[in-house]
Amino acid sequence: MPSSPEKSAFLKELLSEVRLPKKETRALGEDFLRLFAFYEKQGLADAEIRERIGEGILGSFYRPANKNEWYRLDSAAKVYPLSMTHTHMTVFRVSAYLREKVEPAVLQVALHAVIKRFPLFSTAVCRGVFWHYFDAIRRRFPVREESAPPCSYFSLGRRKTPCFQVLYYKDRVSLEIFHALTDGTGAMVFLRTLIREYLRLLGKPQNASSLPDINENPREEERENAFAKAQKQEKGTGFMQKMALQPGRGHLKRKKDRVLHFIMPTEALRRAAKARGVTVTVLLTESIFRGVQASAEKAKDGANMQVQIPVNMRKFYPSETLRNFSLYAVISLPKGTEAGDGMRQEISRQLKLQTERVSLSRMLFSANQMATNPLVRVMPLTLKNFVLKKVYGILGEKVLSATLSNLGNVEAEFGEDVRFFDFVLGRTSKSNIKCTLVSYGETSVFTVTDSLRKNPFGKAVCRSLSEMGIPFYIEGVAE
Amino acid sequence: MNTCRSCQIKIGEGFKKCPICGALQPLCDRNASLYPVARRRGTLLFWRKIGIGLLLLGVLSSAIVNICVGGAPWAVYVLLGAYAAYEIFLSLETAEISIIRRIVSGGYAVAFLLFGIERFTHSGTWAREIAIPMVLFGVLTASAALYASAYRKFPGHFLPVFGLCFLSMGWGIMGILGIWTIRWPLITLSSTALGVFVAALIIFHRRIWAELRKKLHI
Repeated sequence: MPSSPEKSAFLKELLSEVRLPKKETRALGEDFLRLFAFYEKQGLADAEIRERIGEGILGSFYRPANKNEWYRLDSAAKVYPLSMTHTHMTVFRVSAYLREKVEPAVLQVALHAVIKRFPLFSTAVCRGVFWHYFDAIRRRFPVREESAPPCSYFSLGRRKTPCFQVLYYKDRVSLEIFHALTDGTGAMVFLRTLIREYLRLLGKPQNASSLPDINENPREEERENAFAKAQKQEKGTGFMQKMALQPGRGHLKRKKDRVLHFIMPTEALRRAAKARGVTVTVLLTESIFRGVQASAEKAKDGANMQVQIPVNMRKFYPSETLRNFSLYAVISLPKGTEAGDGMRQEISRQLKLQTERVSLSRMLFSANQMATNPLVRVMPLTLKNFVLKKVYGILGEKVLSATLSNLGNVEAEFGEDVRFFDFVLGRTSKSNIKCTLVSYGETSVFTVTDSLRKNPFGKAVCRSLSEMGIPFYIEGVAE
Repeated sequence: MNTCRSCQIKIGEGFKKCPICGALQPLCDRNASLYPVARRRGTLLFWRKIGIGLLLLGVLSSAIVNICVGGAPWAVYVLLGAYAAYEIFLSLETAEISIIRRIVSGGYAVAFLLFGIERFTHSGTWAREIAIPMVLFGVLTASAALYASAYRKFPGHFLPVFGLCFLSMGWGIMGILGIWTIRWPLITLSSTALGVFVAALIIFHRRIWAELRKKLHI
């Protein structure tokens, strides 16, 4: 029960627009009561609490979903629900490390406030006759304390299960999300908006004007399938690559994934790349190739090492979409290529060639064509499930030795309140090594996810970073 | 922050072993770990795996034994029985788990089993004409009742019921046209299917139309 009649009236006002089942409404009310209790501890008066939270914080979002509100999967997302098994799914996580310990009560209300601006996130995966789709759901989305390793499988089978979860642990707020819903860019927008609201509720309003205003209506462009922007090309690009050297061969696998964050100063990383006349992405790709080489020493096959680098298509086709809109470049080098200038030049050359507008337009056209192929479209979902799962295993995973996803620089809009961000790509059942990079202010975090029992990849990356003169320390899933 | 004495790399204080060289870290402080110690999750999947393993073992051993003693059809019965058990107790969808779909798939699996037994024992047409329609009738009434009682919660789960309705009505039409022997269980099944289909369209037509648009992407 609220401790004063003012609070009681305010709670009533807050929940006046809520039309969810009783249990959910009660839980929403309890979330606000916990927030009131937190504010009381902080010594805030009733009027201040009312002003801090704001009257229309929930808007008119918490009402039964419109039965006609549903979303098709975008062209890139279609394969993710099909490739999902009962133990593995394509999930990734973005996290923000704050200066202070996370207050769960505040984070919970911040999520309630933010979700209304992102209706695409308020959906559950459903099975259609030909494709999966996202069906709108309205419920209380809980924040949870972390209890499982990063990017663990979370079931989407039950009714009204959202495709994301907001987790907290000590000073970290994490958003784990099913890749079918959005890509790294979209997830980062959601997380940053959540952090902005969280800090506002804590009494530290931020001037982050690049983020969506949670009180305005969601925009149609944010939900568009940007792959449809593909213009007809004379020829597309094939997605078939040769089989790649698999780093795990000859090494025992761990039961659980290893997630290591190499935390380093952004300036040192930039300086190291500049000194070698390449970009940060090329520099780290070289480290990855060295790692793949080291962890595939015992492999006897003559397959090339192939590293996938996702490319954010928003740079080439301006779009406000929060859904998937990335393609990729695949850098291929023969096993035994010596690290150094030669390797870096070759990586630069291939990357430049594959990220030219013409090649990306061709790939975009092919990706869209594949998703809209009439034969694929009319194939029933059950059959697709069987066929595309196999195809994805070959096209999507076995052709890659590793992946490097560079989210780039996150705008330093939270100043000192956020220390840094990290980004973890979950391993799918067949892929071996996933690497990511994200920078915020003076700190860059290079993350490696793998499952090799001994850590030849990590050792090689450490050696490589040390040789480049980049100071770093390692954090991650402790053993 | 600690420095590994073995490889001199700077690592977080939460590491019990160096994540690079594996050396034990005497200054480890588990409370400083960046991630929590993972709790054990999902015993359901573990038991599911055990169940599937046992079924496969049963099928394999019965196949070996029956082929050795010259009773190959029995191996087929066990296989079909195992399939039915899998559909009813162990199958699990990755999205939109539906009890109705499980009941209907289980019904189809049992129908297959009965058909197999009839076929391999050369015991007439008791399964096709009596037993299978009766099983499907039970499945149809149970799944239709479930949908009617929970259509607000699971509006999209009408598809398996409708699928069974179409199958039953088609079967009935084949009987009327003389392609199939028609007997009272098939008459009951197909007329019930027609009743369920028409009733569902009358009572839930708005909901079903909305769901159908989603399911067919129109």
